[in-house]
Amino acid sequence: MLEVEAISVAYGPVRALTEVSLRVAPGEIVALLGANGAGKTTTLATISGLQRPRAGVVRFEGQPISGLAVEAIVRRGIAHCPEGRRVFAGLTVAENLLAGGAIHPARTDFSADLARIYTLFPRLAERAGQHAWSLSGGEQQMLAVGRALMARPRLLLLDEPSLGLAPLLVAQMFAAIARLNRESGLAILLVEQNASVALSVAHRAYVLENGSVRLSGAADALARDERVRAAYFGG
Amino acid sequence: MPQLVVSGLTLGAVYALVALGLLLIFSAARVVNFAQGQLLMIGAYLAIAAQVRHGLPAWAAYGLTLAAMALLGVVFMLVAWRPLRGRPTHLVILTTIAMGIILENLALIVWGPLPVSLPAPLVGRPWRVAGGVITMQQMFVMGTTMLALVALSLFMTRSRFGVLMRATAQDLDMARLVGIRVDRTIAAAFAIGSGLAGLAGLLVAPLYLAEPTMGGSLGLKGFVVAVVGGFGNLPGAVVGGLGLGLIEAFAARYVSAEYRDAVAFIIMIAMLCVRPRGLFGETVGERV
Ligand SMILES: Nc1ncnc2c1ncn2[C@@H]1O[C@H](COP(=O)(O)OP(=O)(O)OP(=O)(O)O)[C@@H](O)[C@H]1O
Ligand SMILES: [Mg+2]
Repeated sequence: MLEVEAISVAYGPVRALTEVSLRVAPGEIVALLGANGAGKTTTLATISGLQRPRAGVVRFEGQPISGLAVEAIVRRGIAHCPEGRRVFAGLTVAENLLAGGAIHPARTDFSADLARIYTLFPRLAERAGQHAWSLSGGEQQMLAVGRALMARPRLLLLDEPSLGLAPLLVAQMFAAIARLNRESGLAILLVEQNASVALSVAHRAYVLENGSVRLSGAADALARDERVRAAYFGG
Repeated sequence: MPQLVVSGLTLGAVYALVALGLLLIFSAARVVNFAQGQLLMIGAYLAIAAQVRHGLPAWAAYGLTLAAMALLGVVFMLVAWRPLRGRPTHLVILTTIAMGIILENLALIVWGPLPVSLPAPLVGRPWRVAGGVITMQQMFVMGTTMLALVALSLFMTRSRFGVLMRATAQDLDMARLVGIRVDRTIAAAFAIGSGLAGLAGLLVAPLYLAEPTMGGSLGLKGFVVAVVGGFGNLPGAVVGGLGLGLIEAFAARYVSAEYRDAVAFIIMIAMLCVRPRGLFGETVGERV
C-alpha cells in the first residue's frame, strides 16, 4: 500500500537520505531501524509531507503523494505520530483526541473511536479531562498514538514510541501496537532505536545507515543477523 | 462616586473588548496584533459611514460594520500574517504595527482629521441606581461586553472549531499533521478578532468622538489589560479591562485628569511586578 521509491532528501546542504526505497503491505508492521541521525525521522516526515524529496517518489495505494500538502496526505489515510509526542499541551486529553479527528466532518460520531482508544489505553480514560501537560511521558505517548488513531488511518507512522519510557511502559506500548495491527489490520511503519523490541512485533524491517538502506528482510531473520546484533543489540 | 464607577466600568468594558479581540487572534496565530486599536477605529468610522452618511438604521449599520470588519480581519491575515508564516514572531509583530499605521493614515485620507460622532442606537431615560445614573448606551456597552465574553469562552472550549483553533496555536506543524486546515482556523481567528475590534469601535463611538488617532492608546491599553489578566485568560482580560477603566476614572477625579493614563499604567506595572503572570495567569503553558 505504501511504496517509497528511491527518495533523496536534504536539509539545505546537509544530505539526510540517499535513494531510500521501502514498502509497506496492507496489514503489515514494518520496522525502520537505525542509529542516531540515520534518517529515520526524515523518512517518516517525507512520507507525511513535512519534507519534500529532492528526487524519488512516495506512492500510497497506487497514487503518488509526494507533492501533496501535509493536510491532504492525512486525508488520504496516513496518520503520523511524530517524534517527541507533540501532544497539544494546553488542551485536555479529550480535546487532543477531538483534534486528532480534525479530518472528519463536523458532526462525526467518535464514540466508537474513543471506546477503542480507551480500551487500548485505559489511563487515557481516567485522565480525559486533564490537560496534556500534566500527563507523564508514558501517558503523553499513549495520547499521541490515540490522537493519530482518531484520523481512522489505514497506515500509521510511529516515530520512536518507546523513547524515554520505563521498560514496563515500553512493553505495554508495544503490546498495544501489536494489538492494533492484529485486531484491525492497521498497517504500521514503526521507527525505533530499540531494535529488539521493534523486531519482536514487526513482520519485516529495514535498517538505515547514514541515509541509505543497509539491510532489509523478515524481522526474525534480522533479529538473528550478526550485523544487526552487533550494531543494535549492544553486541 | 457611583458615577465614577459607572463611567469607569463603561470605558473598562471597551478595553476588555479590545483585549478579547487580541487574545482571539493570539489564540490561533500566536501573534500579538498591535493594530487592534486601529481596527477599532476603522469599525467606529464604518458604523458612522453606514449610519450617518448613508442613513441606514442602527441595526443594519452595525451588522454591516461587523461583517466588513470580519472580512477586513481575513484580509489582514492574508497580508500581514500569511506571507510571514514560519518566520520569527517579531517580524510579524512589526508588520502588525505597520498595518496599524497604514490604517490610521488611510482613515485620515478618507475621513479627515476632525472628530465625528455617532448617535447612540438606544434612546431612553437613563437609569438611576444607588445614587448614580446609567445611560442606555452605557448599559448597552457593558451588557454587550459580558455577552461577548460568555459567547467567546463557550466557543473556545465547547465548540470543535474552537478546540482546533487552540491546537493550531500550540503547534502549527502538529496541527497540520492531524489535518487541521490551519489557514482556515487562523483566518477565522483574525475575522473574529477584527470583528470584536469593530464591535468595540461602534460601541465607543457614541460615547466619545471618533478620530483617526483614537486607536493608538486604546490598542495599547487593550494589550496591557490582556497581560494583566494573565495573557490567554478571557475572563481575566475582562476583569483587567474593567479594573483599568475604574482606576482611570478615579485617578482622573482624585489625582489628575492629565495624568490619569500615567497613574493607570503605573498601577498596572506595579501589579505585574507582584504577579508577573498576571492576575489569573496559570502556572504552566495553558493558554486559550
Ligand atoms: N531540521 C534539520 N536541519 C538540518 N539537518 C537536519 C535536520 N533534521 C535532521 N537533520 C539531519 O539529517 C540527518 C537525519 O536526521 P533524522 O532526524 O532523520 O535521523 P533519525 O534517524 O531520526 O535520528 P534519531 O534517532 O536521533 O531520531 C541527520 O544527519 C541530521 O543531523
Ligand atoms: Mg528521529
